[in-house]
Amino acid sequence: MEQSNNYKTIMRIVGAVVFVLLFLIVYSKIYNVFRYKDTHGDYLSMPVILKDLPKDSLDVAFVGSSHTVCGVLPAVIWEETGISSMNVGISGMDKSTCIATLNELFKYQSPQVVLVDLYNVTFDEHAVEGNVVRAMFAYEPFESKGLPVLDKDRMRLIDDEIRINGDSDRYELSDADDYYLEWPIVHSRYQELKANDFRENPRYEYWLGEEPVMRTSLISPPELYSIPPEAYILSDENKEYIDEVIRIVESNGSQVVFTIIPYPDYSDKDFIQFMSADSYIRGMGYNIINGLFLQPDIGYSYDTDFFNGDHLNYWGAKKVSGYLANYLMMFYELEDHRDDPKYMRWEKNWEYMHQMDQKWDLQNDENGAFGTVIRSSLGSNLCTIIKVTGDLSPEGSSSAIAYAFGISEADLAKGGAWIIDSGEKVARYLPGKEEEIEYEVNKNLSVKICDSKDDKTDIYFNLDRRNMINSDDESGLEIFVYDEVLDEMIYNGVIK
Amino acid sequence: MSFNSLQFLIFFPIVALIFYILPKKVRYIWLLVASYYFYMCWNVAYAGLIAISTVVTFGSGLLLEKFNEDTGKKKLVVAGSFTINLGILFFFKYLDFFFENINSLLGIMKVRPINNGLDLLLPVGISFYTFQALSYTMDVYRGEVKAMKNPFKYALFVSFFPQLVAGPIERSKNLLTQIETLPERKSWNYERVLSGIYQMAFGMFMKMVIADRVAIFVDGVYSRLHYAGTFETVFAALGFSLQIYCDFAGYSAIAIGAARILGFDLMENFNTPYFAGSIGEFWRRWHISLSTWFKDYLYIPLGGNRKGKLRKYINLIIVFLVSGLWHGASWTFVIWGGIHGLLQVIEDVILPRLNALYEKFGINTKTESFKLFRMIKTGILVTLAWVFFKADSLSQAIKFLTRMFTKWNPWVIFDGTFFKYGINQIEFRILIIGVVILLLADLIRYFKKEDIGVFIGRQNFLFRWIVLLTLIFMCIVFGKYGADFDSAEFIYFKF
Repeated sequence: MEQSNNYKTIMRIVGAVVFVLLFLIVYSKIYNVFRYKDTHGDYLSMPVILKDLPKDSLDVAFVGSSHTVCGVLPAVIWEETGISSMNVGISGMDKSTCIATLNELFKYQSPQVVLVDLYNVTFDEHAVEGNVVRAMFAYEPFESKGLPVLDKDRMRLIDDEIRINGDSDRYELSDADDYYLEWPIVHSRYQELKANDFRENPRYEYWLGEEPVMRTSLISPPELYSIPPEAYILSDENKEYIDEVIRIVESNGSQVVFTIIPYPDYSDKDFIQFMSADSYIRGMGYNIINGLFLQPDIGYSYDTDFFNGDHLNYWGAKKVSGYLANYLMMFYELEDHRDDPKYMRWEKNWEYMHQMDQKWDLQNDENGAFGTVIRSSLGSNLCTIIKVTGDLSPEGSSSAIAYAFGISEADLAKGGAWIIDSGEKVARYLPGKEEEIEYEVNKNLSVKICDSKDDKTDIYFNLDRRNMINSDDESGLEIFVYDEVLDEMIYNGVIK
Repeated sequence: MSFNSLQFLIFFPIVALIFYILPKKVRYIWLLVASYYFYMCWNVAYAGLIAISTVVTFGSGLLLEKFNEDTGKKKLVVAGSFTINLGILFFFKYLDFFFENINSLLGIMKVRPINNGLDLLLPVGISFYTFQALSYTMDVYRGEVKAMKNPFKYALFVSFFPQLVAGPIERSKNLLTQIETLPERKSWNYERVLSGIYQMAFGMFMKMVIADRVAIFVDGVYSRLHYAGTFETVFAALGFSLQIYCDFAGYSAIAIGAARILGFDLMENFNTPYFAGSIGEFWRRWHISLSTWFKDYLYIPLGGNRKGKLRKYINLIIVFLVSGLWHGASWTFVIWGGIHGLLQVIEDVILPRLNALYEKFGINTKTESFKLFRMIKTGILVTLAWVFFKADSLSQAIKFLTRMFTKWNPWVIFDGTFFKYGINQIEFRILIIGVVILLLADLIRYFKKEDIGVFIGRQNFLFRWIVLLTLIFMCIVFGKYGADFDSAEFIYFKF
């Protein structure tokens, strides 16, 4: 009887343990779906990459706000020097977030140089609610190692953010618990879940924290303030902040360089804080790259290199990043990793930038569609699908394009469709004579070509199960260009 | 500390764990400490009011026993106990209402209003623990229980945290006996604990997933009455019926479950009230602990139904008017109570005539469809009465009812207007899933005659685990809580 009771007790304990484990497994799965995955928009979170990088693989880290996020391209630094760098930026990064970010950075990486942007010396409070939330949720609530103890750096960050925003209705002090645990806030995300909540954004494979913007706005040059140097008085908060940054970086065996990523829309008050910080930092013997005064050296233009008054665009970022690459080469002995397979992510990141350039060129080619098709046939990581509907004039531009792909006049007269992957013809469909063909371009895109009911040719695209793109029935040469790296259809048009 | 708060989720397991670790003899002390801590999380000073109520009723119990033979003195003691306890209740709950009405009268007479100079915060659960303590005085007076000798055990009876702030209003015969026999009873019962957990999980589900969700829609309609028409107000009225049931029955389920985990059986408070076929039956199924309190300590002392029909009807109306006032210091509550009293009188008067008519026309009242008809009829009456309960003022209630019957707009169901009152389509879908689960649970309760915790506890482990995980994850994912949501207090806390 006693033995039977003991057995019952053991089974109950085992059952309770299994239930708790089951609960934790389900919870962790659900948490991964619901958690914020975003420090930049589009389901990309910088801290996730910090943890994903091979341990101690980072040579240089750029820490800062959206000025850094938009203004520094690790791919350019990689291309020019082979130095592994990362854009450790969060939009609206205030001083507290910067301190938390540095602490987080050194948990996973040991960069030799850390470049910290000083935009946050121009403000003490937060202007944008979304930025605060992003900052608070950038880091996971629990320490990743060992028992689930609340991460103290994160808790300090939340305390700071709530203190700073104490007057706001949105951030009540009583909400601190909810922010510590994160779940009480993110659970209501069931209303906004998207595909990337269930699977990782493909950009994670090569992303390094940058957010290039390929858009240009005509910006007025900044006002030249004539403020006497005696007016440069750095606030106590900023002094403490700069001292703390230096302390954290140096105590982790790294060297700190301060930056001011250029932007034209700063006020006189901002200017005073920048200049005060500049002289304070130089006074202590530390380096600062003050982009506000480096226009001739960097070569950025207010006409072409900004997408708004606060941020560099892609081309401006390329120039600033090129300048930073030279600076790093000149002052630091950093290794060139370009042939090291451990640094594949940087290679892929560069490739992504290359594809971005290619896409821009394709979509903005001066020679119009003809140039587009020729380029796409030669371009790397591009898949082109062309379809002939009706009779094409042998002398017309559409026929010329077809010939450029190696399609003979006789074949052209028969009509149908062709698939050209990375410059190579991989499939051809002849209407009325062949069974339908299916071609898997990659895991995200499949193409199906078949006859339509009225004996024309139909092309169906299943792009990552997101949508079906059907071809037109318009007479002429229809062209689709898909970029395998960017995972998007970058061109679709009919040429008569 | 609310039941659906993180603090309670930490507090309760700690209390339960220490409770079972401690020797049986001192467990009641631990529960007393925990109960006062639980209450003081709202307001430290107001715990003093519970202490006063405890001391007065405990002392009155001893005096009643002492004056066993002297009816005069006993009546004096009872009067003293009632005066002090109801005096406190009046002071904190009804004084403002009293002055408000006096000032209205003075206003009519063009006399300057009186400023009472007090801005009192209503002590949470004061109506509940006051009534519970008074029931003890009455039970000792009637000789139904013996006076307690141990003041700490009695203090636990008044302040037992699972049911302290919103009931069930326990009787000394039930809870006090269990407290007294605590050292002798079996310490740990696995099945009981599990059943308590299921009961709590289901209560949380009712509160967090259904009540707080439908509340957003209901509040949305009430706050935009100028905009709402027949369909919105009808659905809001039905929504409030659902909200108050899930809110209060959910709270009771958590209280009963928590007490069960600690080895106590609290009295049943809800028994599928919306399956009632008449208003009388509704009150035998809704807030049972309060209904029976009023029956035992007011209706029967007034004469009950022993002094003729007219007196019975007067007693019924009195009981329900008082019950309305117990719910809140406002005329809307009094009217709500009055409506229920009146409906019961009407039922009592016309039911025999109706039955005769049914018989005459050969209507079979034993069929399921007839039962359903009666349930729907009762549900409609109860729902209409809730309008007064929910409304902030009489004028709002009248406006709401007017809108219900005068602004016909069926197209709002189809043109998306419904989703402009605070909850969108996804929320409505979750609500519907929640209501389906609730209906299943109520059907089980109705046909199996056992609460959901006991029912789940009887099933095999796979079913139990699936149900428990579903309830927990429904609460933690779809429950209304967190910084973005200003979680509504349990409705009955303010009574």
